[in-house]
Amino acid sequence: MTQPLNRRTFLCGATATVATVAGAGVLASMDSSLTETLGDTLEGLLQKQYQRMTPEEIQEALARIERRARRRQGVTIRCVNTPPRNQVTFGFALNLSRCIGARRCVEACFRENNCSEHNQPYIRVISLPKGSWDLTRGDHGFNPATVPEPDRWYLPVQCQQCEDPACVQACPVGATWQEPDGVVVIDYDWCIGCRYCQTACPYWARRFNWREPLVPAARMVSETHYLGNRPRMRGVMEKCTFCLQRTRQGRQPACQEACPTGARIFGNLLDPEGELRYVLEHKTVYRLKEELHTEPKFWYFTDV
Amino acid sequence: MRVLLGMGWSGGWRYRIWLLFLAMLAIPGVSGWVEQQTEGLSVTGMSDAVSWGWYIGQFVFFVGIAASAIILVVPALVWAGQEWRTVALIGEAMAVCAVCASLLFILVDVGRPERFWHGLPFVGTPHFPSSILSWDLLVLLVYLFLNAGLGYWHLRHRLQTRIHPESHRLLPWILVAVLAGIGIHVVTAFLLAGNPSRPFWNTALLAPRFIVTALAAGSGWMILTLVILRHVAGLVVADPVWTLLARVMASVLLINLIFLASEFFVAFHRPSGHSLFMQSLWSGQGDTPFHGLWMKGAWALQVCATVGSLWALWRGVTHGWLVCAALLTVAGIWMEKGVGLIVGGFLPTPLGEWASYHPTWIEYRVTLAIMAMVLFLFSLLVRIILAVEARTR
Ligand code: SF4
Ligand code: SF4
Repeated sequence: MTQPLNRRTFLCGATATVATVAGAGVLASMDSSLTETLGDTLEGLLQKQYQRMTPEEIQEALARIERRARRRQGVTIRCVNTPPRNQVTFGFALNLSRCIGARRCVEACFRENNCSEHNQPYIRVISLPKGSWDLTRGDHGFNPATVPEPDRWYLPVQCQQCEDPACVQACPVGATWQEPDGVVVIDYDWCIGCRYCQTACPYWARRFNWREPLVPAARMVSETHYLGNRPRMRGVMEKCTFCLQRTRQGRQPACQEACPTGARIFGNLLDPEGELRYVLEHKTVYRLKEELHTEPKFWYFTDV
Repeated sequence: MRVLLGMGWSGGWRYRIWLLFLAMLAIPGVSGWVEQQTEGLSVTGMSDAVSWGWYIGQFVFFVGIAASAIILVVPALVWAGQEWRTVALIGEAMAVCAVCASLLFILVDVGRPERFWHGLPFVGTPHFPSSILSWDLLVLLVYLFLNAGLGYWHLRHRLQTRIHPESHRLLPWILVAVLAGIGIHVVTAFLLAGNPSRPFWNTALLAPRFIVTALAAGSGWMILTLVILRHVAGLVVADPVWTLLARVMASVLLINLIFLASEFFVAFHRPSGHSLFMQSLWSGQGDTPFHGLWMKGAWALQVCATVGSLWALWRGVTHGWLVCAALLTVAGIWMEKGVGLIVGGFLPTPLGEWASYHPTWIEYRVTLAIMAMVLFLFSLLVRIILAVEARTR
């Protein structure tokens, strides 16, 4: 069926043609980096959730992340997606008798994970008066001339990698989940930034990118993991991942390495010979807010 | 549809200026939102400590208005007389607009709105049935379509046949709509109450109290709307409507006082984590405008509203008193159930820290814009309803 060409359809058609030609012209005249940017942006927008991507799609996503880092921050990074290892479930134990409140872990974690200058660190060390467990009496910004102070004790808190995580349950889009090695991760490209997970976490472990992250190129750690310390963007959530970019390759997390007193013990919960299992079996260990039943894989203990 | 839309746009110069005014009111907010999108949510007063604020507060309040608009007036379509018909349609319109408002408040609150499709079935990965937020979005959308559909069908029926649909045909839909109305507000309460990490919200009283305060604020809001429409659009509202709204308002306010009193008892008899925020209102901890006067004022207004509405009933529902009571009710509940309750839940943080939250001008501007847009829609809908009534009388 043909219709007489009226003024209106003609105008519509003409406009559409002009727009298409102009669009194609603009695209063709752009230099390759611009078209690459455009392509990356579009593909990034349509990218699937990490667990639903095919291996090829993941490789493309990793390449995009590397390109973006070069373009935006002017740094060369390598981004991988090392899978969890078989028969490994990570856990942590922290010796409160040894912690002197030096906050080296806080600093090392911040650097290793390419955290934004605008954000608070993942680890929070709370200085409490001796004899008290009342967190509302804690000092979060303590800054004495020397640590430890005689009348205080120190409680470092970070993501407890809960076995039944309140944050994962809360997320409306499945952007955060628990990996087979027990680490709770976030797909920064899938998170919609609703912050419900932050509300649900009893350990105040999650950090939101309230603005475009700022990581000076000079301190960018270049070995990165898709689910770990790769560059993040504005409007998404992040948190401690037990440094999975390191620990999945058999290394220790940055906080453990940095602690000057050896208060931190990290390891595989499934390894009966490991130091972590020794501590769990021979010390009186306890978990923070155990009564909320998120089943943290993070224990505290003391020497006495 | 086209006929109905045409009716919405037609009106005298006063009506047109009103629409224009609303559109202008939205402009600063839209630009504020653009700024928020380019800069990040750092342009708001929110932080990791108080990570929901003004926006989510408005969201919670408007879900309540949406729920109560239906619970209050739609059953009247079946069981009450002819004088309720127009009022019921206006209630439908109010519900639709309030749901739109709450959805918009969520939209402006998220960091990555362009990724909203991640929550849709098939293309995205909605987290059913674990995430209460997924549930909340689902019930809100269902409620929106249900009410919009019901209202549209009702109007069209009226326009074509010149009579209101028969009660028995409406009944099943109305039952579903009322259940969904209770549903949206209960799920919204669970969204907060279901967090052991936030002891201030973590109480079984939250959902019942939400329903009660929603009914109170909803009837107050309805009274104010009808009074305004009587003046500007010559809407005739029969006496039984006023009496019923006044009675509902007074009785739910009384129940609300009992709930409030038991909150106070639990908080102050033997203090616990749940009482930290309420105690901070007197101990001077914390640093937000929502500490101290704001919450205390909200509670005081609710007490005054209760007394006022009882007084209005006793005096035989005179409009002056009724309007006063309605104003106090809406203000008191808006202050508490909006931002006061939200900020209170975040303080102190789960690690015991007292943080500050000061909303910024951007937050106020965006809020104003959303309210203006929704009022715009409401004006159109009311216009259509009144025009249909006029044509079929
Ligand atoms: S500590 Fe918080 S963020 Fe970490 S797994 Fe548990 S609930 Fe989630
Ligand atoms: S902020 Fe991101 S990870 Fe957290 S609940 Fe929302 S979408 Fe999920």
